[in-house]
Amino acid sequence: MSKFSHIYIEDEALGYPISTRILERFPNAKRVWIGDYKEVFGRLNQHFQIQKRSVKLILAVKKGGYLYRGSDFSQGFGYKNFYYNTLMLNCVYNCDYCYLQGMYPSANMVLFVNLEDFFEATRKAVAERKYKSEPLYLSVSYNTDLLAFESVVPYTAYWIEFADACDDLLIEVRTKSANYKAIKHLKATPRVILAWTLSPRKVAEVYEKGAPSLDRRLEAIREAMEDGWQVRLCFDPVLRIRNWNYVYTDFMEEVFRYLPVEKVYDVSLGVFRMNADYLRRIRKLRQDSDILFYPFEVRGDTVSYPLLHRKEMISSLLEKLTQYIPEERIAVWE
Amino acid sequence: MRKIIITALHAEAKPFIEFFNLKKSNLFAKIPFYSGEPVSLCVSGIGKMRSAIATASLLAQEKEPHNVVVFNIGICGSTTKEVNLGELFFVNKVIDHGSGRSYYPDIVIEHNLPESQLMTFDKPVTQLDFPQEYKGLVDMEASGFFEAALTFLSPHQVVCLKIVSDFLEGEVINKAKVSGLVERNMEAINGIISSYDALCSFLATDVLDANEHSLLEQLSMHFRLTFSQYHQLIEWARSYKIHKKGSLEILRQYLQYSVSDKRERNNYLEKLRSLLLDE
Ligand code: SF4
Repeated sequence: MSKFSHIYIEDEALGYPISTRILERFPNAKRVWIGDYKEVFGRLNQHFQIQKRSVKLILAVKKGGYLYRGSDFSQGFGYKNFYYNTLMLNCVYNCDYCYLQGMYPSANMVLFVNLEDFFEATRKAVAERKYKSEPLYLSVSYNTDLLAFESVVPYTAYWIEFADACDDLLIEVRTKSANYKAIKHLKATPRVILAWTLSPRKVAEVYEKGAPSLDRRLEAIREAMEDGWQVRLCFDPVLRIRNWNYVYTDFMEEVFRYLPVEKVYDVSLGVFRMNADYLRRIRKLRQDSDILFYPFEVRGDTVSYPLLHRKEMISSLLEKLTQYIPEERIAVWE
Repeated sequence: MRKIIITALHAEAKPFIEFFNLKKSNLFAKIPFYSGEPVSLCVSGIGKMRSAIATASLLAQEKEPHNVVVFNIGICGSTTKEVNLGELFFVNKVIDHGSGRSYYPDIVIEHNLPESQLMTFDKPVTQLDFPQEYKGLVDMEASGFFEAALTFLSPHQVVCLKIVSDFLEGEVINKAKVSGLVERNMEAINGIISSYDALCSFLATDVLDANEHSLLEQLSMHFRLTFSQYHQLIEWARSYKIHKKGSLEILRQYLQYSVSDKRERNNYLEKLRSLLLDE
């Protein structure tokens, strides 16, 4: 699990119990006092992949921006009051295709310690949401993997408990972590969707560095399903690797052989896409990953596979998925 | 990976010149410079302005700035006696006393040295001068060094190592003592310098080598590509090499065809695109 050689601490962050807990958890980490996290996180010319060799933790107090309105209606699930928050910036894993490499100036992890302010803002947003007939849908693991960090700070558990006690709130915890045991003690609640991203075994091994294997993720999912959790399966991003069709259809067969299909809450399917500027930045920093150098097509400010390829991939995999899951429970990004 | 040491005093430089067997070079008229392997060295003179000038002068002429690490190494004072005289520190934060600005190196190597923050002053200070709440090391160069180095390099390429020479009690430290302090820490310093070798392979290197670039340039001239078409061709070539893992030699045959107008040029460009990118 994570080990930090250095922890940077905003003076203001020190008074929070979460900071105390983390400093006790990493007694040997060198401590560096800072005024504002952006002094460290926002420096010019940082090298994302070199920093990934030795990630530092930054403890900060977030001032405003406790939740943001999502722009894409939660990738097709149709939630009208869609929001996300950023409790942390960056992730313990290092997937080759991760857009965070192009979005953030640094690979260091920022953890916001003023959780109460996030809760307060969320309560207010729930009360003031526009579409009152629907819950407020909040993605809490947005530019990070919250569950993967659970052994350092139990934010997933805190948010599950918070959601369970908050009417009209539905949270999504998206993850690649296999650390289900960290939240197993909690009772399953209909106000939470645990969303696991899955990739074929080889893809996970080669392109999802640091993330648990497919088998470990599947075990965690099955256990969560048995305990009554609503589990979303995210086949996203699908990569156009050699023999992608066989690789992905075999993989889906395997997934649904292992998991009880009737217990799947819903499924999302999407092919790789990324903001064009992020990809440009990433390509400048690393030329070691073939999937980032695919001859993509640019559409607006997004790059993805050429239209024909996208259509081919989606139709083939959708056909496969609908053998197991009714189409209305599958959200597609093509 | 090139490594450059910048010291303020000749007495700080002397042990390095001897240890690494460096040779005086006439790179700059007014800044003493010593070259050698695996490090070169430059004596900036005292003060943050001089340190910044020396650092910037050296880095401005670096042809491969991503392949360099600069080290500011020298003696410093300490506001606290909780540290030992002669103790070597890896500096993890530099505060400029005048502007209040802070600088942070990225410490991406593993090391066993103690770390500390350091405050850079414009003039020599004693216990009476510095802010009461500040506890740490004190010098006269580091903030200038960081300001200049970070203009050219990434924060993981900028390193500051300081040896405590006094507790700001106004004592005079002679040259021999300064050199002695550096000498005694030479093994540890050399260890730190060497550990930066491992970073080399992680730096962004172009997958296209000089021959391949030259072939692409020939094609560009041959087909009279515009500037942006030429750069597009380079991107496609990178994509081909990384994604399809192919050899660019397949493009050489196109040097035998000639084009007479824009339409023909665009046709050939499309052929190259298709060859490099299509599945
Ligand atoms: S798990 Fe998600 S956030 Fe983390 S590195 Fe992979 S793609 Fe990025």
